[in-house]
Amino acid sequence: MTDLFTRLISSSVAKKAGVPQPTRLRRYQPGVALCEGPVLVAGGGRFEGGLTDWLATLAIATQAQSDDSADRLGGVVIDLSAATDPTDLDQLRVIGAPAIKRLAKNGRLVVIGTDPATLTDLAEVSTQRALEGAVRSIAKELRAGATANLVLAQGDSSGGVRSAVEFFLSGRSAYVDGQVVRVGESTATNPDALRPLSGKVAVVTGAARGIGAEIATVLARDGATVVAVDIPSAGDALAEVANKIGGTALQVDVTAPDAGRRIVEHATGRHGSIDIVVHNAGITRDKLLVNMDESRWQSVIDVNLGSILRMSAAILADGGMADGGRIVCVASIAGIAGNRGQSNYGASKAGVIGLVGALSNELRERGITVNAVAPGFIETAMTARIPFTTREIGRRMNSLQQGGRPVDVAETIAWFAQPGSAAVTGQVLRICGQSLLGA
Amino acid sequence: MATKPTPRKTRRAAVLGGNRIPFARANGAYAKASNQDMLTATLDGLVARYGLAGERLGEVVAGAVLKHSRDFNLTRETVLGSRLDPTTPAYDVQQACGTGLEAAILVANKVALGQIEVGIAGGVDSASDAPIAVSEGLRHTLLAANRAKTVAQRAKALAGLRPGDLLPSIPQNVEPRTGLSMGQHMAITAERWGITREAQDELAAASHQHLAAAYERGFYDDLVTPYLDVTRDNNLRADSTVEKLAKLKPVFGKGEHATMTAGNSTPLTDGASAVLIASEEWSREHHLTPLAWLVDAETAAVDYVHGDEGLLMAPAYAVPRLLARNGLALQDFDFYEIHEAFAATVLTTLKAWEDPAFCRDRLGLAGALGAIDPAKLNVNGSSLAAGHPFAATGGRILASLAKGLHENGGGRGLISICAAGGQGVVAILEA
Amino acid sequence: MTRETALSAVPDLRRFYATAAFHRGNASDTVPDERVTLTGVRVDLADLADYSRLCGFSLTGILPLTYPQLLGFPLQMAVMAGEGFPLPLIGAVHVENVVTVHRPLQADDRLDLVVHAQNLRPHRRGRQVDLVTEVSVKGEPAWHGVSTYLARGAEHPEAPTSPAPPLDGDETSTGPAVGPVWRLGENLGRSYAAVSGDWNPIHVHALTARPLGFSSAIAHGMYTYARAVAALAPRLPDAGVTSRVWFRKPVRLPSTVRLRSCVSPGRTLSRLESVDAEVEHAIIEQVW
Repeated sequence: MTDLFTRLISSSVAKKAGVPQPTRLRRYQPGVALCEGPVLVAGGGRFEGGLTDWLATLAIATQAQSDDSADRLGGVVIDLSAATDPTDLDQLRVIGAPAIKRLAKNGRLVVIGTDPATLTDLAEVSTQRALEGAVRSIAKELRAGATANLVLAQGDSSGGVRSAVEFFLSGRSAYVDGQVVRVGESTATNPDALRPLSGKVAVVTGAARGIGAEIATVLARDGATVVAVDIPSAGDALAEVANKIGGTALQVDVTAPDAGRRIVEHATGRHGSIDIVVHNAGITRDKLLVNMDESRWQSVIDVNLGSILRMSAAILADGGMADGGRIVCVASIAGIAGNRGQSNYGASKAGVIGLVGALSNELRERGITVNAVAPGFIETAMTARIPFTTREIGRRMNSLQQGGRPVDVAETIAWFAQPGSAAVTGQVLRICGQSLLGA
Repeated sequence: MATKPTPRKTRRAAVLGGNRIPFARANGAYAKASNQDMLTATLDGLVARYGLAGERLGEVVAGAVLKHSRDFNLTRETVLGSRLDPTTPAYDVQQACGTGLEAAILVANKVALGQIEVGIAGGVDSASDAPIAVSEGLRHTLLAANRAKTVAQRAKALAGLRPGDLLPSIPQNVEPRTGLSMGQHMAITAERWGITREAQDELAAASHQHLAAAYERGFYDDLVTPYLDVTRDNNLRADSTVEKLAKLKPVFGKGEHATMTAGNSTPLTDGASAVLIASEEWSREHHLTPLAWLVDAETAAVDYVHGDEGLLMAPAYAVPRLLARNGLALQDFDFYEIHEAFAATVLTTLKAWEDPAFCRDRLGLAGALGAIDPAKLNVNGSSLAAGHPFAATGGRILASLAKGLHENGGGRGLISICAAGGQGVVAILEA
Repeated sequence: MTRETALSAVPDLRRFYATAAFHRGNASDTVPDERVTLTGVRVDLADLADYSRLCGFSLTGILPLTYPQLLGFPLQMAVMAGEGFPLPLIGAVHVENVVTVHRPLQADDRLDLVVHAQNLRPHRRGRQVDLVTEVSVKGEPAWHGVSTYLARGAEHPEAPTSPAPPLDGDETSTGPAVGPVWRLGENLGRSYAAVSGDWNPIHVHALTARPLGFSSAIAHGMYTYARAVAALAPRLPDAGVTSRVWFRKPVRLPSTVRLRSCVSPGRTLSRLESVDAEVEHAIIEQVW
């Protein structure tokens, strides 16, 4: 997505003129080290030891405290899960300040806390809640592609914490910044680190182009057999995606009454199971509410929300998704912060967020996780059509000072889909480079 | 392909599914697309639908009626440009409008004989990107110049060129031996059989309405892959009615006998289709459900040159032979797919089967084959609505009928396709 | 006493046309007793191929039924241009032709040709004469052709006619007209002249036909006849066939014609007509 304006502000002239230059983000590649440089693990929380041991198995050097060596740190993990009093928060400053100075380009700060919702002591609750404000603020201070995120553990969930820390340290989370993830208890791991989705059958709706095509590609790269679904009229692009990744194409309109049944039949009939479903299909029909007609409103609500509700019934029925499955929805920052002219779209995406919360609770016993991603400004063919001033604002109004890529959305979804992410459910993760929009 | 072919044992050949690009009226959406372009897109759509990327199949058999000389190995070239394993062999066949179905019969026969486990049969035609040849004069001159051994001989050969030789020779849709177009032939047959304008228009309107309804209920969702921004057959007029069709002027025939219009005749069309055919074992290993079995097939030809029989009447002869071999009556079918080259073709064929004299004198039967239930005829639309890219029609019909039978929960279907040169290809599907 | 003229090579037909105006014929009621012969004729395969392509014959090792006529035509011209021949060369019209094939002629046979004239007789509109062409191979008769030419002149209303068999009552005369339709181009006469050597000006171009009383060039009768024979050839045996044509109204170039045929065992009967069936150009009957 290089247009003239982007090239202009990226030019060496612009650089000298002081226009801030976005850093080329470090993105995940299978087989490449989790992060570039040693990781400082400190803070004295209950996960510190386990994480240090785990990093050692990955051959990543760890440090227990910041030394004065010139080595740039690949990541900093501060485990404050044991902090109970506001005075403990100073550890963030004590450990963080020197470490951040040493943080490499595209470095990572991951703070681990305890989910305040699981606590009762007033001081403890406020201390843990304070971490969120601190991390979100630090994220805004970091430069050169570095990110800061918070993992909140529910109890002694070392498996969940490790999965989230791995995600945040890795290039998969390149465009995830200033976010909070809550993890439950689980001992699940990925049997195959290089192909974590090996043996899984994944359905991706809206897979013909844009973000959906990227999701299908990334899931296939991670080992999944992908059923690429899109409306019949997008069948040619869909076929190209399916063939490229060695999956199968299924032409079906997700709003069709029997869409869920056809998807389940195809996935289980052809490939033996249905393990991962990514509800990515979505449309926009923007108008100010005063000018909104019924068809614009209804079609957006039905495609983006109604269809997911209907399909879920078929997918979760007997003979559908097995226990331990994964459902991932694509929400939107518009569903969190709202967007002018998108009352229909915002409604549908907020509805999806509601669905994720409720359905995740309902399916917890079956080991099926339900999560959502909420993309911010992602460079797609669609955003390329936005008038450039508006586009440039959208692109730049975030801590990473650039737009995300479809692959950033796909990597997060692929992480949700991993067997090792069993402890992550009911989460809505923003992929927005910490956009100024929204909460 | 884990299964080892077991030779010398016949077995059933399954139609697993099909794909086609939407058919487009000639000189329109696909005007710039070549036969190879369209067939590759169709093949890749089929590959995507059935997850065949990188698979080596037993063979791919396809053909085109209008073919450039550069396309001498069209199907193999298409395979090499597709997502299939490049070690998949391929060959071309051509039996005019019977090409697509004949290709399927060839693949099914090899499956039945255990020579292959799986294959794709297809067909493609472009009436837009038609092969234009140089005139005979220019061709002879160029060939002579090419054979010349010296510059002087070559110059002499080229000097024989006349200005008129430079005019190109455009292929014509006429029978070489009679000089008559297919429509003119059909008009003669229709007049002989007294086929009325009203009956033809009714059949045409039904074809459009059936095809439109099938699209509406999603029947074609897994039979068609869009191509070049065309998502549905663009000849389809969902609002077609007998009243509207009645307003068109006849284009074939003369005077009171002129009953054939652009509305009840198929237009020149571009498009391609492909069908996946495999053994039961291969289907099971690949977790694919057979939609129907290709049970048997028959071809026939008639002598139309000096007027002994109508050009498009051969299926009327092929079907009774096929019925006899399988011990069936014409009424023993749940669906009939009679290719609508012209509305009159279908009506003449049906009328001939109802005619005791024809069945006795021409078919050598004791009596008439009888009538069929019109509600079972071309239930999801046919060529009048979808269009008719000659070699692609067989694949369209085969896949649609197989899916129709599967949807129906079983049954038997008859396919009847007439072809240039006085030929007919017919087949039985069962599910 | 029969005069034998043995030619050593095929005469150039153009020479006859150049001097045709001087052969005015005479009032004699007999034809000269002359036989023109040419022996050891070999068919040029390239010429045969051009002829076959133009007329619609398949190129096989066997000569088309009409082909020896083409070989014998220069000899016919030599007879008709000979001294004392009663009919004028200019204006003589080919009205009938009968060919009998006794044995198939191979393309590599050495053919011996003999042509003579006979049976000068009155016709309703003038006088007509038969030119007989006999082709033999190693002394064995193989092919026999009789070409009847008419020279318009004093009318003889009482003269016997040689009617073509009627098509009325045949299947071909009822119902819609069916049969091969041929579009014959303006340049057809020149194309056929190039393969047959018959550069008669009435066939070549409208400009050369006009002085001879035709408003346009007309197709060679032997071309339309050959085309019809070719269309029916797959139904016919290679030998034992008698093929007869009655030429009616000439085919003006360009035009579109249809061949309507009635095919039965041992016989074909065809009518070459204008595509609107208004004009009858020829009747062709073949029996075996």
